[in-house]
Amino acid sequence: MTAPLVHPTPPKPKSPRRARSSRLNPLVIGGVALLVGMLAVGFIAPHFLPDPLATAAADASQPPSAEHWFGTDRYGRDVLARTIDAIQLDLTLALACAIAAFTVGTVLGTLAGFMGGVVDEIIMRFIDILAAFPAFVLAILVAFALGDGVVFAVAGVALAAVPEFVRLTRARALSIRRQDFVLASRVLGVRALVIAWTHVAPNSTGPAIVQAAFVGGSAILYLAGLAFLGVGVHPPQAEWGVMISEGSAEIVRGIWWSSLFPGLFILLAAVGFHLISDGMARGQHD
Amino acid sequence: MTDTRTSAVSVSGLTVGVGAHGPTLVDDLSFEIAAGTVMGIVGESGSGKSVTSLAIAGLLPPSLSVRAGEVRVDGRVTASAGRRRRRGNDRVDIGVIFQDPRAALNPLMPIGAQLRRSLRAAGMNRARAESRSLELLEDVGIADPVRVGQSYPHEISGGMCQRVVIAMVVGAEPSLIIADEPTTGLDLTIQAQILALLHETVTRLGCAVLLITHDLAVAATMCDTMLVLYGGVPVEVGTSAKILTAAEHPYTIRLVAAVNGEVSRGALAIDDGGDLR
Amino acid sequence: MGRFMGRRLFTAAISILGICVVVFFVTRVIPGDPAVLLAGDNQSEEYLAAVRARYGMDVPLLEQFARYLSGLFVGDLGTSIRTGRPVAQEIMERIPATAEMILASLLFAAVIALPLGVLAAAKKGTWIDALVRAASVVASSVASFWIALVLVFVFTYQLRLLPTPTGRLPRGFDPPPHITGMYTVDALLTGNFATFGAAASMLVLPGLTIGLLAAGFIAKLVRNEMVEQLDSGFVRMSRSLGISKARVIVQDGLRNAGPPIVTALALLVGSLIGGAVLVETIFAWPGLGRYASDALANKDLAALQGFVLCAGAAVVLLSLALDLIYAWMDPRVRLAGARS
Repeated sequence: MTAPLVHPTPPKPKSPRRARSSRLNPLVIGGVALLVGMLAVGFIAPHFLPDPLATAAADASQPPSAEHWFGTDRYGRDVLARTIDAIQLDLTLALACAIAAFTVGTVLGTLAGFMGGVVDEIIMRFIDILAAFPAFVLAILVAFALGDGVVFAVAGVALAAVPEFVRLTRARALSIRRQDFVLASRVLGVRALVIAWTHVAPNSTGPAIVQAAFVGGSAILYLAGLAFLGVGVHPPQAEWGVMISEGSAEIVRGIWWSSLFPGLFILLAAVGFHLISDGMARGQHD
Repeated sequence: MTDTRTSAVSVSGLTVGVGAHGPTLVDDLSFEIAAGTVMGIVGESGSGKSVTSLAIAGLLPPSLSVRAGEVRVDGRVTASAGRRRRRGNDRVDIGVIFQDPRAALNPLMPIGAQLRRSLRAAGMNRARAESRSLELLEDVGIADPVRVGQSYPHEISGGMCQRVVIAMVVGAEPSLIIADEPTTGLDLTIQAQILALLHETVTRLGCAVLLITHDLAVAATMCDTMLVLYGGVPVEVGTSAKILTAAEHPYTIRLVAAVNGEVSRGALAIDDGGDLR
Repeated sequence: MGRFMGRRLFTAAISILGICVVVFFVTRVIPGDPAVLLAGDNQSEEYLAAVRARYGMDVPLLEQFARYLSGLFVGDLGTSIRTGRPVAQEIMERIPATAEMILASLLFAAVIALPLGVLAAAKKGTWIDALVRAASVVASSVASFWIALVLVFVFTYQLRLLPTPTGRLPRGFDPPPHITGMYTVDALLTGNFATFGAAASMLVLPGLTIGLLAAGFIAKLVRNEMVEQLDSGFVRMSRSLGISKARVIVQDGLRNAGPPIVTALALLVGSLIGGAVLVETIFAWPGLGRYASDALANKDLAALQGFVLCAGAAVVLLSLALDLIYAWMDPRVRLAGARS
């Protein structure tokens, strides 16, 4: 008997630039390295630096020097020490925002997409209204309303970020819900909730993680912005937005160092998050 | 000036693969097409036939490359570097008709505008392009060219879209038309019409046509010569008559048999040593 | 198209209503006593009672809400505790200033980022593409209030190229006759070229600051949308017909990327408004942003509430307008009469 016909399927064309497109591509690694690096510095460096809260009126507003690499601010505090001290706070808060928004958003989205009907309608109407506000404006309102405090600032930013997660997850949930293996599960009598968690949730998380990283980047900027406006983190706590706020009055007198360096670190942290987000997005597209 | 040539199109040693060192998708393919005739490349999915058409047209995606071989249209080398070259000022070497006609048309541009644009790219002035585009639409069997010209692609049927595509390609007056599965996805009755239209175009223009298809029956109706492709390798080539009635290669025989519905015991028991190449 | 418009208008109206509801309830239905929020901790009960009376919080919540809604219908957004003037009026006065700044920034961003985005898409995968993408990542990662300070420092105090940020006009200049409220536009319309120059020079830094944000967004958006279009079958068809690369990029790529780009602009303007809140104080710009940050600092509930309402409504209306433009640009939507 002759051999059966073999159907040679063409191999998936592997672009020579494939390395850049896989999920752990250089962009993602770069972003993670940047953030981890910053965190490491934030952990270790303070041991070698002066107290970020120690004021020294005599030393106020000194330009960068060998003794104070980033100069001193108007209260005589070492800018380098404060900038580095702020790393852990800012990064942790930003991560908290991202995780909170991710959690709430994906749960709501899965619920909406999978349950459908009235539940879906209610959730989506609410989300649509939430999304109608500019994100930062909503964060301001919520933080203002909830009260003065870091937690409320985080809550405000997270709330502003929730809608996108809900929409993403819901879209995925909707498409997965209609697929045969879910229908089969339902026919077999598996409870809807179980199906939701074992099938819908894992398949929906891809773009949600991209969004989470992006939210982390935005959160750095929003939280610093809120602090700059006097909401959330307050002086004398070392936080980049707070530092820029304190330093802004000095610009007129030509004192640039108290504002420049914290802003640079904001840039670095945000870039770190954005690299991860962009990198993962590319890995999923190509 | 071109003197009469026996072959309008000649492909020799075409080899296409993934990058420089990846798998080979088309291996040492050579054939000729005489002007005014239709050659069909027949093969299953994965046989490399679409890659062949893209390679000849110079439209390979960046991930694939032509590793060897040469394509000559009207005696001039065209796609050996995988690039398109526009000849002179009013004609295009190679025109391509793709499988999904709707995907080949810009959804935000009226049909007429797209047609006129391709004509003007060939150097025609506005007025001439306008009248020629209406002519072309009529030639492909569209009854109301003015109305269709003002319509958008989503407003007309798939069959009509394919006619428009043919009109655009014909308007460019190519020496070679590559039709890659031009009727797949269309209703059977429309399929027949489109094939007839293609045939008529060939006769009128005197160009060569390369028809890519997995459907042997389609190839049988249209093609003067056929090449059977399997796994990127040409397995058999010859006139349609010969392929259909006196095939030599075991794979071809099986293909023809499948179409003819002959599944008798004897016909399939051929010992080829297990290797179809 | 009519049906589509009708539906969109209805959705927009519902959204605005929803915004009003949310704004009201966020500030009232919160853990803790709103009066304490406004008055601060450790105030006597009498003081708190007085605060409540002042804000109309001494009546049941639903009645407060009814009063609030009915006020909105007649355009009453409450009274600012700081100035004692109607919030609605104060907001109206300040809209042109912020609008002018946002328009200037969009202009700057369009001129810089649009071509860069197109270029990056056309040269996808090359170093140009990588550079543009890197630039847009950096531009989107910059804190607006920080770059504002940096720009002021460099251009005003160090290089002395631009006037000090004292608002919309330098000393010695009067505003042009009021037509739109935007000084540059009004000055041009009335032939006041000196004033135009002065107003424009004050607009440069704020415009650049917010414009940087916008540019990062637009470059990335344009690049991604164009790449998607350039991947389509009809682009391949056009190229195979011999249509020049430049023409294909513009007519097939950019034109088709237009609709999705346009709809994304509503989101952008929203974030620009947020940026304005941070940046206007630095430039002493008398716009909505500064109004909001002042309201925040003074715990001026009515003013902040009014601002948030207007910002939200602005985005909803802009979204509506852009969706209508999208429908006009995309014949599939226009002729089908309903959005898919």
